[in-house]
Amino acid sequence: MVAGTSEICLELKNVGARLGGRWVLRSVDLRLREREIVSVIGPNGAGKTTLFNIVGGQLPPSAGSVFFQGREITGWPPHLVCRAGIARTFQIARPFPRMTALENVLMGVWFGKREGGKGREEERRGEAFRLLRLVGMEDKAHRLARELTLSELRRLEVARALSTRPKLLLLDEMAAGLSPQAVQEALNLILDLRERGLTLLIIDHFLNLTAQVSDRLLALDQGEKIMEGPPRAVTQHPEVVSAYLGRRYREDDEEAL
Amino acid sequence: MAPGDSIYFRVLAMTCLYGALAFAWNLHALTGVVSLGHAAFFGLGAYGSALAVHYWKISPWWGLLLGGGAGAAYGVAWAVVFRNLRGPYLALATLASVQVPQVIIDNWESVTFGSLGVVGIPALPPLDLGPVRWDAGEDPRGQYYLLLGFLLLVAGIHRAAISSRWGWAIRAVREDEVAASAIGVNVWGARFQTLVSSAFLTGLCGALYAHLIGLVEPPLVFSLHISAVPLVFTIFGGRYQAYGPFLGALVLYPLDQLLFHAWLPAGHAMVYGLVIVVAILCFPQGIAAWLQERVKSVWS
Amino acid sequence: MWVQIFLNAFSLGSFYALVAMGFALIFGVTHAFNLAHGELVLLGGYLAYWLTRSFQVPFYWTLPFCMLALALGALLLHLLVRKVREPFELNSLVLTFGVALILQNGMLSLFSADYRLVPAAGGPVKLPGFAAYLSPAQAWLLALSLGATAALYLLLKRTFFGKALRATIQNREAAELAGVPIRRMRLAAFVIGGSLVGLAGPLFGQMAYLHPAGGMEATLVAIVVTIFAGIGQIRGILLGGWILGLAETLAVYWGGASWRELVSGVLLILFLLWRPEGVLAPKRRAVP
Repeated sequence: MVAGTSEICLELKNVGARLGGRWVLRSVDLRLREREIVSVIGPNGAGKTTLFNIVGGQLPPSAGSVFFQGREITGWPPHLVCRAGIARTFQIARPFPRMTALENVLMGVWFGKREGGKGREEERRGEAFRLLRLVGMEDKAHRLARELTLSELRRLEVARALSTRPKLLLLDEMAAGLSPQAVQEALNLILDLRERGLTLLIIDHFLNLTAQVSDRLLALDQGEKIMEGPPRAVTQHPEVVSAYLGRRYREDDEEAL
Repeated sequence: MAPGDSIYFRVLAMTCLYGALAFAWNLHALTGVVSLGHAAFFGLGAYGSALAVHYWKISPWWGLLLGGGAGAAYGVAWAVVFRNLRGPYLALATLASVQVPQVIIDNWESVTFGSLGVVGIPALPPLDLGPVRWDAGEDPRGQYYLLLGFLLLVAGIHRAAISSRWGWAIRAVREDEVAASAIGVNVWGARFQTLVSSAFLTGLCGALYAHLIGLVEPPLVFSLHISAVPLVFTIFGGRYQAYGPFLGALVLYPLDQLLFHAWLPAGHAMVYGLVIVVAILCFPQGIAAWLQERVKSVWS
Repeated sequence: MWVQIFLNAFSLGSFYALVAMGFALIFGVTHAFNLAHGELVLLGGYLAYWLTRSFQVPFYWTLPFCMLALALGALLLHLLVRKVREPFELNSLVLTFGVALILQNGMLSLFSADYRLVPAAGGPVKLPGFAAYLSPAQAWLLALSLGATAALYLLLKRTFFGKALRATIQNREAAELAGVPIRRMRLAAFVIGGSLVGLAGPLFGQMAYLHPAGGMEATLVAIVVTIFAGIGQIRGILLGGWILGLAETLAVYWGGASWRELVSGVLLILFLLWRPEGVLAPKRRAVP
């Protein structure tokens, strides 16, 4: 595993989130170095997506602060977080349904960075095409997003996120519902992105999947960090195991080991 | 000009005004919201201009701008107070919000003349543009040209809200605002800009109306009819086309005034309700767009 | 004197509750925002007016007739609303807005904008011990509203059918999976809601002047009270109606009659901002 450089990309200090009177995330500390790949794991309701919503700006934290490349971005709205260099995908893909795949990615090129508005139309389209090719979607470029399959939508999400030229990419649930071959392609893409200089924070319910590519794992349960470290150490930690197995009454038992 | 011509100029002029009203409404609707309360802006614009001219003795041309400003101010209030509302809840809030200016104006008799309304509103004074003297006040033809120009202005803004970079941002907000903000679109900014410009232009329409008709009263300028008309025209003509709202005005308004008015003098506005019902059930993209498709398939 | 004010407030509030009940039932079961609700109430009122005027039908006979007629009308409306596509709530709102326009203008051409009143049935009732009177309209209102609320409450809580309705209101998908015939529930909601409207209409015509522009106001009242009570909560509707009746009566007492309309509008906005799922609704658990 390639160790990251010593620059801190993302830092969360004592971050907490309160929704409807309940703390869904509490005292979470996290430091991500540049070009690290870190996966966040935990059973349903552990707070993983809430964590993403805080980093992405969709939800302002009720406590603590968030730093990106040394700058405080706590409470910034999503579009400013995006322009600063953080991009994310969503657990349930959110394309622009009545736009084509190309137009979806084009939107990211156009608005994702302040200088996206300048430059020529052909250059933007070219960049959008290149990104679609990166995720293997170039032949679907002119299909309407609402006609795409689930796996194609996932890939479109990634392409669109990348179109904003991020330094940090948050991937939420990339692998659920994909064939083994598609999963392998996704893993290759993740490693490829790291080679290109991105830092990645990934949520995935499938421990085996993310453990293969991650430098570190971060385990959450009931809103708190219970363990952080190299993949093997975390997945075999008794507290992590019981957090997954103990939740028999939750609907998604598929992730139980 | 023969005396019979003036009615056609008047109908054309009002068609232009209502067309502009529809464009202004759709400017806001492009972000994916339905407003049932634009009469608030219209009424505030009408009263703003009428009262400003009455009390401060300014030229009606300045009154127009003030009327637009009054509308825009209430638009800012909407943007702030209703910022977290969506869908049917927002529509209901807009509907209820017409009550506030209407009831206040209706009761504040000392200032607004209450339910008596403001009468004797001066017409727009003629403009001396070099060799040409443009009388938009009394002359129906002059009025028509003024409103035509206004229509073109609003149409241009509406078109920009569809085809420009700004237009794509608005479209992204409409399709999925969470995704839009995640890729860098300033959602709050887009919604604010479209709402306030819509409110300003609608207020301008109200002010123009006041100076053209010469009298305003609360049930007239704050009526449900004023809120409904741009909705109907846009649904008919096409919500996402650059010409859609005006197409609705062009077809429906003269039809209503010249045809249905004769059949049902009291309830002729029923046709607008019918258009809404038929359009929502059968032609979600607009009746005009459907017609276009049929014509295309017949030709090919 | 205060007794008279409270009497006025409670009878007005009972009327508001009656108007809201039909709306709340329809919205709870079908999630359709019926903006034509107020116009339907007015229609009932005009119908009663026509019956008493043209056929000298005594007032109490107009009630069952209007209930039947409006139940039928609601059925027709249901047939339209059923066909609405996604987003359902917003589109049903716009559709019924169109229906409201049709009805409003229809009544305008049939009855003109003149104010009309359904003649009173019976004389004023004096409240023993106080210097306060209940007009016949108010007496009917109080009796019928309380009666209708009780009947609806019994229907929902004590009958099997009512249980099915409540299940549909609380969770439509789960109810469907449990075997509840959803389509029939929707139909029933519109029919029952329509008959409640038919009950409210003639009472409205007796208590206040009928004029075609009053429909939207009645609809807003229904929505305010419904939102106050929370989706599916029937008890709260009576309370909500009374509170609104009290608020408006006090506003009229202090400020004058013309401020009345502002109360429901402002309250609606406040409720929408603060607790759109219902002021009295139980706090929903946050879903992480």
